[in-house]
Amino acid sequence: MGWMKYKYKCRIEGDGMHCDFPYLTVTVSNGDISIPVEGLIDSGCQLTHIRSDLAEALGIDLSSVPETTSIGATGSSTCKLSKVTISIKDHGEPFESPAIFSDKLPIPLLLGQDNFFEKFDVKFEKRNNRFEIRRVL
Amino acid sequence: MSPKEQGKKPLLTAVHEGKWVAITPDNKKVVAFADRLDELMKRVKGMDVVYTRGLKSGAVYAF
Repeated sequence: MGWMKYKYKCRIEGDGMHCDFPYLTVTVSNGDISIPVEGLIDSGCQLTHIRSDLAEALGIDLSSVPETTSIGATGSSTCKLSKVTISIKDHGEPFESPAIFSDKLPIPLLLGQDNFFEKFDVKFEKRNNRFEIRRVL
Repeated sequence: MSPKEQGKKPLLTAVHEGKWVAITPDNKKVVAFADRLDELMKRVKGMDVVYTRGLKSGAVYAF
C-alpha cells in the first residue's frame, strides 16, 4: 500500500500562532457499532487514547476494565484501558488497537505509538501544510 | 506568521469550544454541535458526518 497525502486541518480560532492539526478521519468500532471521528496523529503518545464518552456510544463497558494513569504535558489522570477496532479509509483491513479511555481528552482520539505507529509510517511536512501515511503492517 | 495572516480560516469557532461537533466528511461544513455526544448523534442520525470536538480559541495544545 502506498503513501497517501493529507492536509493539516485548521481548527483553532483566534490570533494564536498555530491553528493546524494533523487530523485523520478514523472509524472506531466495537462489534456492529462504528463511529467516524477525527483522530490526531501524535508521535509523543505511547498508546492510543480515546475520549470516554465514545466508549458509551460504542457500547464498551468501562466499569470492569483495568485502570491506568495517563500523564500528559500538563498533568495526569486516571483512565481505563480497553481496546477498539480502528479502520482508516483506503488503508486496508480494520485492526484491533489497545486504547486508553480518558474523560479529560479534549479531542475524540489520539493515534499513538501503540499501535498506530506500528502499523503506519508517517511523514510530516508542516512547511507544505501536509502529512503522509502508509500502512506497513 | 499567524493563521489569519496566512489566510487560514478555522472550520470551528469559539461557539464550538468544548462541544461535540459533527462535520461533513469533506471537512467543509459544520452540520450540528452539542454538549453531549449522544445528543449530537441523535440529532444527525442517518447523516454522513465525522465527529470532532471544538478546541479553546487562542489556546496552545500539548497532548
